[in-house]
Amino acid sequence: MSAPPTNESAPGTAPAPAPVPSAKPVQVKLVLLGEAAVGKSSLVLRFVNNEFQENKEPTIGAAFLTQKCRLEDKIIKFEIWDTAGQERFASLAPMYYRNAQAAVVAYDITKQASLEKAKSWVKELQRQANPNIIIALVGNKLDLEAERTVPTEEAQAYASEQGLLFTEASAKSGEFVMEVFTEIAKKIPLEHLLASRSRTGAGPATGAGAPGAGGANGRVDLNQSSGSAATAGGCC
Amino acid sequence: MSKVLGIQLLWPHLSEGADRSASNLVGRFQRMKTLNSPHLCQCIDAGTSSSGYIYTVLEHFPRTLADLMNENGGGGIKDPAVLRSIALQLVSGLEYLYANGVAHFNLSLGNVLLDASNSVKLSNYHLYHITKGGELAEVSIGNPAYLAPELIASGSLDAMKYCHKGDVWTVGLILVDMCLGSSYRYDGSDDLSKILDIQTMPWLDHLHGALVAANISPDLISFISRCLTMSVVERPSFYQLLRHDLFTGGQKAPPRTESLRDAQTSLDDSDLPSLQRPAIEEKSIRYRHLSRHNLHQRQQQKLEDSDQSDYFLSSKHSIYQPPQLSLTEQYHLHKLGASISIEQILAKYGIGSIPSIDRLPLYVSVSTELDKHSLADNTRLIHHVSSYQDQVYTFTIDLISGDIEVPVYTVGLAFTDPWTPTPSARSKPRKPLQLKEKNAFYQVSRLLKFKQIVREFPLSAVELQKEAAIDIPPLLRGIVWACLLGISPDVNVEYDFIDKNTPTSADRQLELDIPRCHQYNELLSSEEGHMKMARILKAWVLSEEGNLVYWQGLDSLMAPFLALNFNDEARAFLCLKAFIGKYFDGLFMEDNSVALNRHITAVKCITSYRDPQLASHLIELGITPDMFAIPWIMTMFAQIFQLDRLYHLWDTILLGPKDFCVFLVYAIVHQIRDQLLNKDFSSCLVLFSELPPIDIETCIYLAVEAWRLTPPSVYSLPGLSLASWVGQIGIQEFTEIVGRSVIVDCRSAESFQNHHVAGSISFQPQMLETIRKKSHNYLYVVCIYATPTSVRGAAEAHELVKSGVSHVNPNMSSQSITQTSQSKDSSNESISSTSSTGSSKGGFTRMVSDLGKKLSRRQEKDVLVGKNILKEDVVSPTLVQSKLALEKEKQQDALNRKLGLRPSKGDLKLRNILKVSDSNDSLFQSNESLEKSLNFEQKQTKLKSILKRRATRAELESAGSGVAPSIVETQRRLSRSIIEDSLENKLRNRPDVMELEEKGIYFCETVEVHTTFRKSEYNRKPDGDVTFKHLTPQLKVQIRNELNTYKKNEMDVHVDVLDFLLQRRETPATIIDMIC
Repeated sequence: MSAPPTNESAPGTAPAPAPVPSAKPVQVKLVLLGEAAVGKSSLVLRFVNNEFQENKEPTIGAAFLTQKCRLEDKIIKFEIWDTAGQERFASLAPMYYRNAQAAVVAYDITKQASLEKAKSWVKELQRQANPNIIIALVGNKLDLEAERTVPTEEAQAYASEQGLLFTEASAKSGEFVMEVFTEIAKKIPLEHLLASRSRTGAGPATGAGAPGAGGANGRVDLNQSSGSAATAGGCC
Repeated sequence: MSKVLGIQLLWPHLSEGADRSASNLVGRFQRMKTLNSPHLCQCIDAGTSSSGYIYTVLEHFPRTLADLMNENGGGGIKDPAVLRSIALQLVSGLEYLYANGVAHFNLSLGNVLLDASNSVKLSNYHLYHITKGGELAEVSIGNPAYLAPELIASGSLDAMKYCHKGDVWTVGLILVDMCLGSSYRYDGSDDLSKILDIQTMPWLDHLHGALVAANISPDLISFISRCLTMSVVERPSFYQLLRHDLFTGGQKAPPRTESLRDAQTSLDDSDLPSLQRPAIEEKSIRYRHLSRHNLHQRQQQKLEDSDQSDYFLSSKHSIYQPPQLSLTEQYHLHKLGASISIEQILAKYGIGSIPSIDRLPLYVSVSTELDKHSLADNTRLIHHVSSYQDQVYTFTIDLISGDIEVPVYTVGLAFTDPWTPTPSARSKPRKPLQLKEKNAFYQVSRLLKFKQIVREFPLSAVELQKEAAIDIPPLLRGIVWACLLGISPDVNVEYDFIDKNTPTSADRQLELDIPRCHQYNELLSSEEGHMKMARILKAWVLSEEGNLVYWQGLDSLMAPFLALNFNDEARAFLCLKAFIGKYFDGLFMEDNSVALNRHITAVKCITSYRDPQLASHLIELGITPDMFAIPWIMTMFAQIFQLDRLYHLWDTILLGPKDFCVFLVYAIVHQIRDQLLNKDFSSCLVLFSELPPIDIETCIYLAVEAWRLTPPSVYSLPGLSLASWVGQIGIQEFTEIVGRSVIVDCRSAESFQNHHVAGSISFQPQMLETIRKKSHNYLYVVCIYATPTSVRGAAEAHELVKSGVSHVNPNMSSQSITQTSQSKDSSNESISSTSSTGSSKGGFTRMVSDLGKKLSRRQEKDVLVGKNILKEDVVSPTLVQSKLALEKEKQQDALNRKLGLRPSKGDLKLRNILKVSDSNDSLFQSNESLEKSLNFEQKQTKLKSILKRRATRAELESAGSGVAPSIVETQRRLSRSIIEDSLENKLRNRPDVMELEEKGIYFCETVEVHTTFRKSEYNRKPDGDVTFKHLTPQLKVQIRNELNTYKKNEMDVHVDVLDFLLQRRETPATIIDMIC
């Protein structure tokens, strides 16, 4: 497959040596959803570090990774929330997909049940997430073609019916993993994002308080989402 | 003393799934380590060497049965006693194996070893079991010259699974060889198949004749022919063979010598020729634990016990002996200092690493040059080509004895100190754990100490805590952890009663998670490991009955317990259960959001209290701990650290308080703070996901320090909400730090005018610089807020931090720790009062950034101020007054406490404080300052009166000879005189001699001396021939009845006592119990 799409694959270090001086990376918040053990973490790991790890330990809560891609003359920085697959963690999911511009919903082509779960995630996203969210349905474990139980056509049909991007991929072999993210990048209204982002550089200055409140800056704001149910303690 | 050990190499199976077979082998080997019989070579270790071999290490003895025969000139052994003894030992060793479900299938003259006293030690018995009958590795199993006909006929090792009496035949052949000489059956000619052909019925008849001709005893001949029964069905099992006339001499009872169940031997007595055990002693101790479960079960349990507890079991033989090191432990101790390295030993034998091309799967080595030896010793007839030999590479270790010079490493961390406002001078212990764990001598002393402690558990619980705080020897970690969790080393049977087979709702998830759980660990990645994990997790899910449920991450939590107690699932299970019960309050409930929020909030508060600058940075970025800390908290770091490092962390966690885990989160965050401070949102989060190497010991040290230096109210105040990033402090604790704090009052100027804490500064933006300067001289900066806890509300504090009030100096981190703390007036009373009155009185939120170091001393006053405000603003005088009274009382209490604690110094300090505040008072003209001064005056007078009441030393001295100058002395005298008084009273009330005589009590005028026996004179050991029965309830009743009858009818008693006895005979059970 193609080389990692960035010129700088180590995430988390200094600002990218942007090839076009003025091009600031566009941040795209992406969330990965899907049943347990379908290979969500492996997909991201392949995308971000171009590596594969057998028996990757389960994700708990969520993991955060970033990767920069170049699309034409723009640099896109994916901020990826890789969520836990176990049903129980579903209650945490909203705080990760809130304000996300893109979602990858993964299933395992060898497990019919995982597609059902994927469908329910799609439904939830359509109902509760950002209305303009780009959703990609990804059938993982293409390398296990021999054990396939989910026909491509079935998933394809569902995807086009719902207006989702659709790919089958293999995190193990790396096949079509990059394509998933490239397709998403193409579909995202970058100009729009760029415009809305450039309003303010950093967050609210005095705003020790409300980090996520800055609007579409796409960050997870945990304070607002889950916490409210907790102690309403300090009020007086 | 030294001991020979033997290494054997296995060639991983060169076929599909080869990558797994190594760990599967090691996994299956673990159970072999628990087998412990006087007739087996102890299995010690298995693993993969860096050169690519799978090796096993067993106890080894250089002499074999074949050698014994050669010493006899190659002919048969004639001495019937020797033959009988060897037969007996062979059979009992094998019976032990079979009782444990292990088939040998590898028996030959060369595999039966003899120790110095000619005791039989079976070797190589592990190969068939651990390779799953050759499935997992290329290894020679089954010497064709000794295989049973059905095994040869079946032609494959697979079939062996169904041939469980194959070894019986082999024993018969071995005995034939011993009687008639090994050349009788097989003369060494190359044509091995010949001897296979001749093992037919006529041959057996012929053999019988030969045995008779050789003058073999009829018993033995009958024994041999029983073994060599063609029909598998009719062939006896080892259990039946043990009862053969050869051993019993015609009597029913099986031979006593073997005492199969007393398999556990400590190293020292394993060399003893006699196997007599003080059976009574052992049983009586065992009964102690017997309460509900029958003896048989316990015996089974004992057999299954892991090697980790073998010292525990052996201790039952001789409970008063100091603990010994088992051979396995000796071996591991030697490995520590790398004084044994498998690779080096093999290199000495000319075995280098396997060429990498050979390690590729699907490589089949075909050897053309097989010498006679390998032909004879390998299973080429029934197994496919393998050039691998049945070779044992031996090496010797010198045994370490208990009395050695032990290096002293000191002081662990203690959770005993309560929180203190001042950082301790104690520095980080600078003897790295790894160094300690590598020092064999140190480990020996620790091992022995802990063995003793564990043996005495739970009586030794206190000492256990103390010693565990220093360190825990890795070899005993499993059982020590169990003790720390309050699990008695005596195995609980709860686990066995749980049905682990019926499908449950968690199964599907378990199936997905287990193959992904700590798979870098050889044991956990083995098939055995997976099965054990599944069973334990299912048992946990079932035993929690839906109170707690399986969350992903639980598997990670369980992994360390299983890895440490691989042979004791029940203990691993109990540990897991206790651990979760103790440290995961609510985190594994169906809905864990409350518990999770509590943890997350605590992390926030601690971070902002301890490291305001960082907290403030994270707030600005919008990062909250739930973005990174959930997996840390839910797995107690099991997912971010590998097991070897995790062990050290958990060593501490198991000693720590319940909520210690949040301090560890803080400690980790703190270690990467410098990097975090320079990064943006996503880089920070990425840093959290891919943590740089974290030093565990530093982490532990930081966490313990943080725990000690953080007032409990900071992380446990009831009013904490998830939204708050700001640390708050309770009034009580604020009073303790007030003197070391700069206090910034962030309420409106008006409120400040009305009342404020003495010495506090009203916050003005232009005063930032002043505050910053001032902060350098103080330890804390405290901000006081009227409205509690929103981040928004703490803006000033935030600003302070940003403006550099924080002078966090990494170099002096322990000395001047910057603390941001927000104190709202948070004690319960004040909160309730606020709610009753409404607006602004209540909360003083303190947000202190780095400034935060200095302000803290005046919190009490704050509180007072708050109260005052209440008084003035609100029209509920009575309430306020009662409040004030309460407050005063509290202060007095605190004073008294202080006085009690430090009688002289404390007084001085207090007085100084009083003086200071006096002067402060003059600065303020508001009511509250008056109020305060009143308060202080009160304190002063109180102090003074206390001081006054006390007589001066001079007075005391002048008071004359009767009064001792020091109070202590007086007290001592007082108590002595009290005792004297009471003694006198008693004496006075004593009946006089006359009365006594009237009552008819006399003392014998002469003293009789009865001789006693020394150990050497009187053997307390039981008769070796005695057999024991299980103490069943029926037996108990029977014994009881017998005793009662005896007492009633036959026992000599005084007539007067008879009535009494008859009355009491209803409850003789107590007596019986004592006997048991």
